[in-house]
Amino acid sequence: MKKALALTVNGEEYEVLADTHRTLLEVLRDSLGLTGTKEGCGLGACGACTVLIDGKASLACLTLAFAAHGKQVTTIEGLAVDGKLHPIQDAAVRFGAIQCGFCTPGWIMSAKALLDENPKPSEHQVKTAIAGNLCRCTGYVKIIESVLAASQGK
Amino acid sequence: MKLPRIDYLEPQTVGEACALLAGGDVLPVAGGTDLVPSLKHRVKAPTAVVNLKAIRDLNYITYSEKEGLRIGALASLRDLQNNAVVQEKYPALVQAAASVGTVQLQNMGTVAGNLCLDTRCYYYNQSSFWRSARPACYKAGGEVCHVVKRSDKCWACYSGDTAPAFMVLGASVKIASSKGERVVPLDKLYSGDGKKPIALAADELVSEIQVPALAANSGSGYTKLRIRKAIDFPLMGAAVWVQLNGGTVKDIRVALTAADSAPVEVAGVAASIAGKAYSEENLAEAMEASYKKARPVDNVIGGSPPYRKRMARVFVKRAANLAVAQAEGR
Repeated sequence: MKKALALTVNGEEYEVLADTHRTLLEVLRDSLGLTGTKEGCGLGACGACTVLIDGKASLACLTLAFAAHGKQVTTIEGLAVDGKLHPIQDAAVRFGAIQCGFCTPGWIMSAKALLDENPKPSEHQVKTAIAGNLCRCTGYVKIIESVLAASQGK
Repeated sequence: MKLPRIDYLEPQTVGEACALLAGGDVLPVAGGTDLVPSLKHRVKAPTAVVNLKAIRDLNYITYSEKEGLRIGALASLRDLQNNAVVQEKYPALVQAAASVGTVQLQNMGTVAGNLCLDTRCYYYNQSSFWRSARPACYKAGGEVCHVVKRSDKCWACYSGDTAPAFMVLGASVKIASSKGERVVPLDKLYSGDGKKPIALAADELVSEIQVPALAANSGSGYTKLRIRKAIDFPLMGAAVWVQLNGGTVKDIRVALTAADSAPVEVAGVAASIAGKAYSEENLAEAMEASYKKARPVDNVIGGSPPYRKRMARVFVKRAANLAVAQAEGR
């Protein structure tokens, strides 16, 4: 059954009609057209669908859309300001931390949640924060380097 | 992977939630990290889910010397490990919560939900397509176990990380229902039946977790065997609580996870070490009792049952070392 769902995504308010069994991921991608957030495993093990819900890194594939009703959602599309990339995105480009790119939106959101909470993390803290984001290209070293560089303003 | 068509209900109070749960073919959900994959796999098929997250005043963690630690049902695993009092007094809870899945799952998943984690099995936690190659197992509503052949029961593995840690700390759970509230020791939450591991009636839910105040000179630790340092469920997990008296052990409690269809307290180990100095030699009997108590079967990926059983000794020792370090103030 379709019901009205109100979400704030990247600072913009949306109201959509959605089936009660939709996940937040489906609403973001299919109803709002925000396809930056990816579906990997769909079961919570890969982290490709990571978004921030009220500032906390969460898995959109396991979040019922209506459980996010009235919440602040931030997706990868919300990071760049006026066409200027977020420092983590910028570092990812400069350090070559992107290969096929599928895991990138997910780990960048995990890294953003980390840096919002802890602006100067240790390497171990970075590794823990992104441990839930699998990269099948296995480019982890450059991912960790780019998050550390972003945190140090490099 | 799509969810089946289900309705979504959002009660505002515990009473409303229990009334909805009593109403029939519905299941409660909080973080959703355990239930939603099961819905996607079509191993659970309610007509509606009851989201508990909108219930007010259930997200708290408080501590007092008189009442001990009280954890509301909606406190997340991340709230638990970031709580300063928990960090100081109950490191086993921090170690257990931090070893659940990933940061995202800890943000979403609740402590109470982790205690109520469904049992898991290689033949059960699979898509309906995958499972369609075999007859349905006991847990999926059938009449066979694919793991223990000719068994008359389900052997699915209890895989929660926080339960053994709460168990050795002597925790109880407050259970709310449409008839009222009751407080039971944590081990009474578990039926031991792999098919229906959580001993709650349809209209009942865990509303609070209660942990006694920390005893003097005591400490706790939790550690688990797994393939990767994140994401994985335990292949074997051990929690130990220990109380020292000068240079000797006064009391010790040991519990295991991923060892059976319920978290297991290894009873009666205190006598073997009480009054003796803490050492691996003096811990040997407790390690051996844990080894004997663990009954892993071949239903999870990552380690053979004999290996996991042997690891019960090793992880009890490691957890005990962590517990003693806290008790000694290190």
